[in-house]
Amino acid sequence: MLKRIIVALAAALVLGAGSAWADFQLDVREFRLDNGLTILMLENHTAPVITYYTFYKVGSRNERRDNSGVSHFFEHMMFNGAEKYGPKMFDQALESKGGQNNAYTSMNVTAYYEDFPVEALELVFDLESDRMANLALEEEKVKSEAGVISEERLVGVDNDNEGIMYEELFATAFIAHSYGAPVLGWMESIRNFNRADCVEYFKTYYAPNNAVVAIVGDIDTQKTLKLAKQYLGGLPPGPPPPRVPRYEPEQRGAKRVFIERQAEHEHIMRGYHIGDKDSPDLFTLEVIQFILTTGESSRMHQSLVNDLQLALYQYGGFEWGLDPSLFYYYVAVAPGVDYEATERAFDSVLNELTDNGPTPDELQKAKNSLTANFYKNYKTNNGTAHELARYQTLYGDWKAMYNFVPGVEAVTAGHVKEVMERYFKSKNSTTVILVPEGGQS
Amino acid sequence: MKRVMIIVSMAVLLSSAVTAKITLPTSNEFKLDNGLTVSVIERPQLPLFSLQLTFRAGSTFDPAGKEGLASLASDMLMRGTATRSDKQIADQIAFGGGTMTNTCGFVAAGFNGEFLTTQGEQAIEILADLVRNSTFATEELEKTRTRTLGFLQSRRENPGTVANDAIWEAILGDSRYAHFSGGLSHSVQALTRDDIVQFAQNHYTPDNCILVVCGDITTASVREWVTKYFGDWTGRAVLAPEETSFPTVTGREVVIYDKQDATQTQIRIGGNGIPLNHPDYPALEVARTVYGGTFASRLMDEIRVNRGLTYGVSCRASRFKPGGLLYVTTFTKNATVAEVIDIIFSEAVRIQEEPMPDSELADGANYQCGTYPLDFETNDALASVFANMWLNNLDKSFYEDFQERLRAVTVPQAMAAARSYFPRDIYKLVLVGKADEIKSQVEKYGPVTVRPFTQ
Repeated sequence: MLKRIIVALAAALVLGAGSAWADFQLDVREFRLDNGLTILMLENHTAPVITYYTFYKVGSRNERRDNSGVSHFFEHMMFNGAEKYGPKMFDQALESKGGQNNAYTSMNVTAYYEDFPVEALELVFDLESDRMANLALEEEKVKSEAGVISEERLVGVDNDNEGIMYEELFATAFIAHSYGAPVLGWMESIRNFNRADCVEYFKTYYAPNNAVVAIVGDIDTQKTLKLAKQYLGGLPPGPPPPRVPRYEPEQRGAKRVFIERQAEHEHIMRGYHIGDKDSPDLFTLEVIQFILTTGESSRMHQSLVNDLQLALYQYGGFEWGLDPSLFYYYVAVAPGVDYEATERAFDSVLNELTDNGPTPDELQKAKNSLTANFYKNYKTNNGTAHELARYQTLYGDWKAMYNFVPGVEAVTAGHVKEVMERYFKSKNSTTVILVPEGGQS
Repeated sequence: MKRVMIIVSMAVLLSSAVTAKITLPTSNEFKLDNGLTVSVIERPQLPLFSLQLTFRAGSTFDPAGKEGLASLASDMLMRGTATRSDKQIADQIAFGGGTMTNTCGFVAAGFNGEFLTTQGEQAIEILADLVRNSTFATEELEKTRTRTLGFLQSRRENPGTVANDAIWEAILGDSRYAHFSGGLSHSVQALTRDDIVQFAQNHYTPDNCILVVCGDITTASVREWVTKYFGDWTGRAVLAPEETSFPTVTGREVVIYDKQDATQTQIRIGGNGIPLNHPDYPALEVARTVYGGTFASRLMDEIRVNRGLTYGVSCRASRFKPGGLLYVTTFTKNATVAEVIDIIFSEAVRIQEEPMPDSELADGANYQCGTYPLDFETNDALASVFANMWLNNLDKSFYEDFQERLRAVTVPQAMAAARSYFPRDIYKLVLVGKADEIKSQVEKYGPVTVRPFTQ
């Protein structure tokens, strides 16, 4: 539930977007079962629908050189049959009751969700407990799924210019840490996974004490807790997952990689090593990302796309990493333009922000927009459940989400300059350039 | 202080989303003297509101030979007014936490925005400025044209995009819906500022649009601001007659777009579908769901789950007033193209000729009914619904009766719909892949034309 106060009409433009949400509080109920499973619940009775998220604290960062992609592979296997609901039955059972589901794997987490009508709640508990406890992992299904994921890789990486560049960027930037391997895995890994790999992985990571469940929607908290205990309370906890080596040596100089492929124009991707989710620079980086790359008023768009016409479009981003990660930019070089001209303009934009910092209006605009975007995450059951589970998984406390708005609000122009100087320097950069094979058309 | 739910409310009668009848929220509609239609849906749960200004001004209003005009004109609405540069427009919208983008599809063009409640008047004022005072400056036009041409070229890099464009073109032939709404390179190159000014005068008029505002905002406030900023707006629309029917696909045709470095082939197979509000829609929707509309569908089951030949396969239907199209979309490695296409056909035949179990029919209808409420969850989604009703002359029953009509579908009706519209004997087949490796596999499906990947 959200308590809100009415604010004077003009206040937000003066005080910042956060003032409209000054009393934002969610009435989240938090439970910890004896087996270590954390369950978050939020009642919302406006429609007879529910979202159920399960986050497992495992992603590609937990992988080794010889099993890259196993987290994502395993995500697929979670839909391929368990003890009670055999192959094909998970989707069939849920969809036939009017529900939909999906999942994703990132460098840090693996997340599963279901959106469904109220009367399917017990079914969803049954489905989730079945696969958390007794995944079948049939050898035949492992082989078949390898084909599916090979095709996923072919469409998203091998036959996609931006996909190839992203993979190359991380593989080049990280020489020790597992963030250097692609979430989808290398093709060789995908084709060679076997049942034993999956069983080992299941035992290691898919235990209730390594998971967070968030349920948001038309629920009765106490009745839902009873169901949670009935279906999930009896699952045995697993051993603590092995520690991930955080080591990544400091980069000692700029790295550059060229890719030649069939393309209509040149492309640039650039990454800079940054800190992790606990870095004091996290919110400043959010502000920097907004100022540089978000929307038509951003500096990169205004300079590269609008004024100089050296790029078609651009974007930037970073994942809040459990370990120090990478801030990356992408620029689609305008057809007929040499990437070097675009890259020079790109560097000028970075240097300008580093040297002079943001203007007061620019800083306030970033804060207002980031604050508004933060709250927009809570417009739906699915968005709300996702954010609760994400914060709980990353920080061990969903209430860490309340740090976002004050954190962004506290960023100063001085912080922006300091952080730009600290990270956005040539020595810390990895650049991937994709040029059309045989020259531009 | 008021305690409210975090989700915008949706009035739903009865107790279950599977059995519930969706009831759209109340919309307060009024019209200004100049003909501007305004619809306000008050949903005060979050201090946010969405707005959509929708004109009948999409790409199907492009005159012949001027493809891309509607899209370019729409883009130019964000490129500067008499008192604001494009950067000032973007800055002022973002400063308070809002977002606004221009849009242009086949039928409609306009703006979509989301703002904080506190930006109410500012949002309406900026919107009015864009619509009424855009200068269409020559320098900005040339920049926008250059970028548009770049985008059109850039789209040709992606095999999936090329395949999608090609199947629409193959099925719809000389229809105005056949090409991407952004236009064609040669026609965009030839557009003039006079073309754009004329298009704007003919289409961006108060009698040719609806403004839908949905969220934490009052009707009284919207009425006050709209009257203030749009009240003396003048103009009368001059619209070209809309297309009344789509060409009919006859025979079979196979087109390969030859991408020499492709290790995977994009596949699209389809033909004519049904127009908006056609009586076959519920039956076709259930049949399509069973065939290729969910993770548990027959196509997914056989191609992905049983054989591991693809990551995704689905049957898609698009409907417009003059007609529709229906096609299957998937991709697979070059070596298994024919195997996948054979399954697409054999599964179509199975639905057409073998009565599906009642339980499978019910599952398909339940899936559609159960997920339907999610289409009405946000302010943006509801604003789109109300804009669409105005655009296509639909009433609330179009949405509110949909679940009931789905549940009434019988097995013979679903089979009949599949027989009428699923690809079997008459179809267009488009492939984007390495011709050397796939041509011999697909010659059995019809006469093959090979075209270069980039045109």
